[in-house]
Amino acid sequence: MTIPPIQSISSVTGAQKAAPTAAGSSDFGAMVADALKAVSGTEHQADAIIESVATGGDAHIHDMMVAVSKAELSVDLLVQVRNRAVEAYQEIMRMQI
Amino acid sequence: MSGIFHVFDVAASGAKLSTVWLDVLADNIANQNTIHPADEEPFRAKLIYAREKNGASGLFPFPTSKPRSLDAGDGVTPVRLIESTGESQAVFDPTHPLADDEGRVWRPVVDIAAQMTDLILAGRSYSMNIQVLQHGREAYEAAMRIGS
Repeated sequence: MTIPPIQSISSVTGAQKAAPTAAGSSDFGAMVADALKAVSGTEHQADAIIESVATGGDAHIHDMMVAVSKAELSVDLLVQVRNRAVEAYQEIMRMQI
Repeated sequence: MSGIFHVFDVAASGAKLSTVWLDVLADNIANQNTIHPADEEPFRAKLIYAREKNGASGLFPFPTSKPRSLDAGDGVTPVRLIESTGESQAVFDPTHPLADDEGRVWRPVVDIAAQMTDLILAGRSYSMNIQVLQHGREAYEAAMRIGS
């Protein structure tokens, strides 16, 4: 989701349009999509390890707790990033023209 | 995204080594009375040869491909088992069913006092590594709360 550029007020100044925020070559939407894939990856790894522990495989209890912690922290990180992004978006949308 | 949880990988490698160590110690203690006939080698207690892990190999399915900026190391990994080289003790016991013509059998080479001490060390090492995991997780969770 890209933040739409702010339209210039042509009658007052010759201000340029504000460019959409970009991080390197990817836009914010691509970053969020990558983060979602990574989080989903950690969850799948955690599921595999939990199954291995439950069926008496090679993984140990602490492996399972580490994998679950990583998955939980990844989800938490994603949620926080989303919260900040939405807050920033709303802050901008609240600006009175 | 998994490279940012490096503390977990390091602590998990320490915990894994401790569990392997506990297994080896349990094996040694279980075999403290294992007698071998004279034509075989005696049972020797095993030790773990472990080395520190440096560089790009992460633990189980979370590979970290970028070298750490401070090069703090990646934990520990067991390399192989070594048999202890203590003095073996042939016991003269002609009534033993495994005794050879000269009546000798091998007693196991297990220093039981050292094994029990190591057992305490291995258990403590495991719980300390788990504590590192706990503290690391609390630190990461605190970072998530920044700005909220």
